[in-house]
Amino acid sequence: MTNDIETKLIKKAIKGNSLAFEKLIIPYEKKVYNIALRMFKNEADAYDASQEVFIKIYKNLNKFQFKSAFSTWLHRIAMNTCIDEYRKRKRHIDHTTSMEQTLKNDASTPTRQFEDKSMTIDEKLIQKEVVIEVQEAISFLKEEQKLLIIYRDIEGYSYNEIAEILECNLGTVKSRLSRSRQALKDIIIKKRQMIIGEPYE
Amino acid sequence: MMDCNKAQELMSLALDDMLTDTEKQALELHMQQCETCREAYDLYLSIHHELQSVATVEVPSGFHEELMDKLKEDIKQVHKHKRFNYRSFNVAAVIVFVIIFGVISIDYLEDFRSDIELSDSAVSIHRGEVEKKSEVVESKMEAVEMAPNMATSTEDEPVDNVISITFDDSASETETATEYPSSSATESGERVYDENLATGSSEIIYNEENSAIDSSEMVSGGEESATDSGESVYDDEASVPDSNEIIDGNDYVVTEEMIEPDTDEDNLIVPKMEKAEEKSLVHYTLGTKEEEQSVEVDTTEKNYLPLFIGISCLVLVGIVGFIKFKKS
Repeated sequence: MTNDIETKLIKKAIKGNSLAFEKLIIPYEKKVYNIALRMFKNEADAYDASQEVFIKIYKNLNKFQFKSAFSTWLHRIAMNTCIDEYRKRKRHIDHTTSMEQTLKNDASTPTRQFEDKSMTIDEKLIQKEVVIEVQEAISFLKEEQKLLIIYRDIEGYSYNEIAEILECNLGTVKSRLSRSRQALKDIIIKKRQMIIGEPYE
Repeated sequence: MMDCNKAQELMSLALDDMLTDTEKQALELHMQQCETCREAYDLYLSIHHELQSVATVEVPSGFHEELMDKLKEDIKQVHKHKRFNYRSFNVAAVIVFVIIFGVISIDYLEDFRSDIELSDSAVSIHRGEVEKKSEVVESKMEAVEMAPNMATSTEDEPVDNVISITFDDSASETETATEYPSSSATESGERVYDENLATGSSEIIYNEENSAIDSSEMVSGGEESATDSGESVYDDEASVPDSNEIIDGNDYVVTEEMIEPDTDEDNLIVPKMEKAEEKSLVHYTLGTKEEEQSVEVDTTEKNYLPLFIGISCLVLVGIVGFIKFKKS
């Protein structure tokens, strides 16, 4: 994260040095891909979206003002690109999630997916179910809320970092994150109630 | 007492351990009393824990390569501008080469031209003489004798032109000399010496009015021409260096300038000299045509070297440009 090295690389990359650009973005590829993967929940879309993120970074690199850290600027583009790409594919994603939902509602599919690993230990099975449950619930959040959860809870970005990326103050981040978490919790509760309620129907 | 909404807000901060001690105490107090909030906080914790435990995934293989391939398309588009710059650079190089070798070839041409001028200068000298003689004739009279000599002669100024043209047509000095007894250096010279005893031409011009004046004027012209170019008249075809010495560079005008001071500073003659200059210009243009013809013959032999170098350089530039274009 040393800014001096990045600054040099950015300046070289702006001049058309593709090698400098490669050096600049390689450390961020994994992070951006993982964020996109949490956002889209499917590898193909995450792959395409993160490619789009770096293409945008390349195209807009000359607009980078060096006022903020490069990573902050990069993640701002990543966030915006993910939101745009998500909205583009929203219909498709809604379709797939509804498909997944029906599969999940069979209740047997999660165990089937992790059959060899989780069948032996019950705790692990429960944990995996929770993981899937949470990840599943995330997809029902609004794009902005989803990204906040991803950045804070999954990727571990600090409130300050998120505030810089979103270009807002700390209080806003606190309240937004609080609302996002509340929304996520409510989704999970609702889902649990649905799953619990189903056998009775 | 804290309401559940406020508690929910604090719970979020509590997950990140961002609560102040008082907030923490207040939240704990609320949760002790509110079961739903306590359950909610448990859920928050589990969700938070699950989210934190989400394993990072490795980037699919070929991600970076594909990205760079995509970017190279953009880079190519950027390079298109650079390619264009190369093209314009090539064009500029070609123009520069054309100018450079054009200048060089012009220098060569001028060298040849001066050589040819030198050879022609001898001729010009004779023409100058002849002109003068003819001018004098014109100035004195409208030259009744001259009229028949000149095929399509009008009067006054046109006469000048005609005379000059006739000289050009005559081409060979010897012929003109024979045609016009007045203009023939040899004959006139003899006549002058015989009749006028080679005195100042101006006096004679004033005194005499008829065709004899021609010959008398020829004294002035003839004398100098005899002295200046008389040698070259006879040697002119062979002895170019001699004429070099006589004439500096500008052929016809110079010859007349050279003759001017010699022909006793006469008010009458001087304006005629100007006319002579005009004629000389006509001569020059006509003469240059002859020169150009001769130059063309010469250049085809000697100007090959700079031309060849220039063309080969142009070809080289073209090849380099084409290769660069193909590469990019």
